[in-house]
Amino acid sequence: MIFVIDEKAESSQKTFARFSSILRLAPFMKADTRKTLFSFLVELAVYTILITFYFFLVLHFLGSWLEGLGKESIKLYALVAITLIIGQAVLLEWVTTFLFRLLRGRSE
Amino acid sequence: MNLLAMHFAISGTDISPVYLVTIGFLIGIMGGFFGVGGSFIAGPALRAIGMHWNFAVGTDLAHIVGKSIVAAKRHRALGNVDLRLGLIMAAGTIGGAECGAQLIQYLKHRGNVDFVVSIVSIVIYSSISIFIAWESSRTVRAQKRRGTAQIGRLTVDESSFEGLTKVMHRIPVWPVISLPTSGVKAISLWVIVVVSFIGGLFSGFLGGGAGYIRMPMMVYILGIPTHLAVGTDLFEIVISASYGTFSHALKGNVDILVALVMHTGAAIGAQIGAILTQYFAGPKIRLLFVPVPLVGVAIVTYTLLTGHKL
Repeated sequence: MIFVIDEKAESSQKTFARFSSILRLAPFMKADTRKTLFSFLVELAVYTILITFYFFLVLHFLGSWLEGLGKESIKLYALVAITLIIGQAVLLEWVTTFLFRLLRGRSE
Repeated sequence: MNLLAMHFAISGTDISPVYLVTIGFLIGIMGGFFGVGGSFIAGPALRAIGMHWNFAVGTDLAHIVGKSIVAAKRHRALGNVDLRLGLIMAAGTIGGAECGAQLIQYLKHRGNVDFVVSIVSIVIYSSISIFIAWESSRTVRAQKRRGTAQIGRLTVDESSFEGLTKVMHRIPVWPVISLPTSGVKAISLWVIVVVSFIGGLFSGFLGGGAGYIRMPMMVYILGIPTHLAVGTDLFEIVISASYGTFSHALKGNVDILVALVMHTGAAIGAQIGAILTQYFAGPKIRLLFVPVPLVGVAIVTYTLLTGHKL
């Protein structure tokens, strides 16, 4: 049986191997670090999608209402402002903690 | 919704939400890791895109509230928050912030507020950086010599200023309390109040949460371990910044929509920053903190020399 070595194929195999190595985030990186980094990137992607929806659904509709409220009653606006930021903080903390646990299977 | 420029009607500015989320994310990491509000970056960052200073200050405070809640909750889960200490400090901070604001009003009447605040902030920020660089590098070197340097919060936190801490703990002014969570057996309540009052004074005078001065004071003067100082400072900032946000909102200085967008980035950044503290020993966290006040020095010096606000 005769094997014909195709130089082009060999070169592309090397390139593929190099890319695979990069995709595996280099052999010098510890398995744990690689896993953490991967989880973080997935988490960031999921979070970005959620946040984009959040912008569309909530902030878009709240804008004009808040502007009107600020002109009508500044005291009510101040109360709503502090409630909104605390509410969002609690909600996003819950979302990010949930994502951390979901992707890593444990709480950090 | 346009991702390049979204109109925020309350402050009358057009800002890219991507820009706001990115700034929030970076400041969130820093806040979760060092326990600072990051106002010396967030304020100029908002100003740089055309927001008026009054809105930049008020909106930044609102975003700090949200970010600090996320980071403080994460630190609490890691056992890094002393609630008792945080509540006492919040009272002192609010009092100090009011005095700082009054000082600003006085300087406004005298007509030299910008110059005085700039010079004071350059001196304070630089001194903090130089002092922490000196102290933490000395502690890290001493640990290496003894071979006691370990990673993360398993290490018993050390500082080269333990002598000063001991003197502060011995001040016999009634009431003397204990802080079991922080490992402080006895300390005068007034020492804590004075420390938080000074932090609040700088917060009111220079703006933001003043974590850059309160966190080092908690470590060196009160003797709180660095991880606990970071977490407790964040908890304390939640209370004092909420007060500040409400006060600024009443004056019409808060665009809450900008704060909400910034906070979406800060929420995840703060979680990451808080988790990162697990991988660094106290003196190393302090050493990494050194460039943080210098960013403030650079911004203020630029503004002072050129007359342009970033």
